[in-house]
Amino acid sequence: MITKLLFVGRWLIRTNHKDIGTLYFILGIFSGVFGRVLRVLIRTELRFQGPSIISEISYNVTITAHGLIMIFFFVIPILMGGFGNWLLPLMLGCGDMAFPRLNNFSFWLLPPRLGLLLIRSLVEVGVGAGWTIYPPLSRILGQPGMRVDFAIFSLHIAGASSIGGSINFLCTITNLRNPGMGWDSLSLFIWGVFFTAILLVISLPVFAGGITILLTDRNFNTTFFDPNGGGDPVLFSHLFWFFGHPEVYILILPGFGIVSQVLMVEIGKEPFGYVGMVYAIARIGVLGFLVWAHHIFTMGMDIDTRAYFTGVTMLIAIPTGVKIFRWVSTIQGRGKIVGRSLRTLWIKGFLILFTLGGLTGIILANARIDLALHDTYYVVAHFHYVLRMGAVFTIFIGFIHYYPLFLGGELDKFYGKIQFYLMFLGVNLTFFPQHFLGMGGIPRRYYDFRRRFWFWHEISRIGSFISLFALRLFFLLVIMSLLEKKESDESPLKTISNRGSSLFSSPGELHTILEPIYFIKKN
Amino acid sequence: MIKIFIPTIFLIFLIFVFIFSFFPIFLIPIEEIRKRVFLSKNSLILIFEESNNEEILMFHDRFMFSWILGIGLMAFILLLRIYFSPEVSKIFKGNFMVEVVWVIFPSLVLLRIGRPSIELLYSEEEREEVNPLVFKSTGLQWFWVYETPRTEGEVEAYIQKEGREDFISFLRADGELELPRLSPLINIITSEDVIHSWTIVREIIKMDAISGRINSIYFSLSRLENSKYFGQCSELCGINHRFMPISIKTF
Repeated sequence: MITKLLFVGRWLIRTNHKDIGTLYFILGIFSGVFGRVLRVLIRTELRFQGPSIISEISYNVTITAHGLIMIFFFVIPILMGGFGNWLLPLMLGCGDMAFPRLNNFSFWLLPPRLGLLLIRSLVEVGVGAGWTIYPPLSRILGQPGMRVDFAIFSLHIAGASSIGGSINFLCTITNLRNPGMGWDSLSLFIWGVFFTAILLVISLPVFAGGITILLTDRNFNTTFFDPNGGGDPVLFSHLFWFFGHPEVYILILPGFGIVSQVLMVEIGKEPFGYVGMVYAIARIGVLGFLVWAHHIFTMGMDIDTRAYFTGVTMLIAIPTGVKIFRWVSTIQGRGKIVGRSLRTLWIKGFLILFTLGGLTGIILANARIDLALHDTYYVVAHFHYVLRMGAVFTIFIGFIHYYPLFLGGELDKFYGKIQFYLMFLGVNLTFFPQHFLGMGGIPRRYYDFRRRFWFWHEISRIGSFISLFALRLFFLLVIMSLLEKKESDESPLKTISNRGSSLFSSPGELHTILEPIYFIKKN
Repeated sequence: MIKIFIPTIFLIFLIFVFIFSFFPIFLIPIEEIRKRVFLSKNSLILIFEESNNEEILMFHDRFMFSWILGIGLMAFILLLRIYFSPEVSKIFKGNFMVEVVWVIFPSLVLLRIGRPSIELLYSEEEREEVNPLVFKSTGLQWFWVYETPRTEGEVEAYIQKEGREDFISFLRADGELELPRLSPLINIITSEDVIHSWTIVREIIKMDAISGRINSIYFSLSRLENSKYFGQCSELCGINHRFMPISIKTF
């Protein structure tokens, strides 16, 4: 059979969790670069009033594509597929995931999906309905032709892939823990991925249902969202955001887990209040299902409904804030907080910027103020703060930390710090002025703007270019370290957990744990 | 070799970054920059642009203040503790009192913010007994149609041609909505095709125009004659989403 491990055999029919994780990383990074190109296009277009480099239709397509690609192809594959697949069996002490072939299948659903999304941009002019694809704009009236159908198929496959992967993770975590490991000794990354998987499994079917009936509306003459037949466009909004809100928590929870792990290794002890951390993650997950309508405050809901959603959304601030406080308390000892090691820098950046994003989120949670800020650049600034500087920073943190495990060698510390400062400067310059734009009233998804907003748009563009180059510097760093093949000066197992001995080589071997390993708690 | 080669690439890259990012600004003549930056009455930061709605402004100020003060205080105390402890404490893994405090304290801060917020929300619904003037706005791709008791038939408000090309502002519509000042108004909003959003920036109101559904906003305008209000369509509705202004004049 496939004993020769030819190239095809190795990479196409593989069920090894490390290989699949690597494949997810490659796909995710490729898509991330693609999304970044789109973002630079957007920013360049917004430099001057009037059309500059892309037409109006293409602009709508670009913003739609940017959103969809960043969320579904960059963050989720890397965090769940990449980090999850690599680290879960290693942290649990089992040989592989519970359903390795399902794992493979989940991955290989993704490239065709990417292909479908790209086809969508090439068929006619591409979907110009925003990543939220509200009907009636996304129905046959607003987007004639097949393009939204391609996007819907792409999202269907995305859902199937994520659900498959999540079921895999849940079964692995529940059943394949090594016999000495109880629920209370799971590492925090595993808890993060566990709740993310639960969120995915519960919310994705609703999304799939919603876009399926959008599909039938477009093609089979149903009128779910057409008032002429008794339907209502608001139905889609509710269905979409019932998924959409847990989706954004799905984007950030694995990142929380990664930050906890890295902090643990950096500081040398467990994060403060392990049980409380787990409960905080659980609360964020559960509450995430109850707050979806804060995205549609202006659609004309009843006032009591709006008051409820305002209250509950503000409630989510508490577990999230508690987690941030816990992380900060973990960094006890002045040496560490003033410490300038590369990972500490990234973590500090993450903590501060994610907190900022959370604060602006609380402002948006109030229904009355949301009337001023809904669908303005303020919302854009908010979610980019929590996503770009929350989720994507955690991707960087995890990648830098687990680099010895994935690729062997180590990233150069000095240039890494330069790259960090550059990226920090870039993303802040890009998104902080957008708060001002939003409060000034400029709406979202606008291809043009009034003259007085030119200044902040320009600053935002400068920031965007700087962060683009910071990303390229990161790739250069990776290439540099691959060429130099430095030996990491830390025990690679320390990158997995704080327990155990140096069992794992750097880079991780193909088959790491052939028998269950007993992790013994030393108190 | 690599040790010399790659850092030089790095350095060149860095210089390139800064030149490339900032260079295009130097292409714009200084006059244009001066015009654009200072056009907005010497104010670059517009917060709820010229809004007369003092409640919202006060709410926002108080909100930011309490939130920042409360959380900042907490974080500051934490950091003080951390900064002044000499070493990493391996024993500090959990402390019940601390946990209680940092759940209760943010809850109190949130309550302090939430209560005025909900009050503001419900105050929007308080209506006086006076008969309000009802007018209807319909959103279409890509213009608004108004029906008021004052005009016969419908007023169609397209963006003015100069608005498209002159770029002084995108806010001139060729059909202005004329509304009485000081009296309570109800705008019933609907749409005939896709979802649009009707908003007046100064009054901080916004409501989506959805086909098959009538949403309503209750508001009133200032006491000055001939004062102008404007807004822009706030929900993605297609190509000319940016060219659907709302222009209101009081009489």
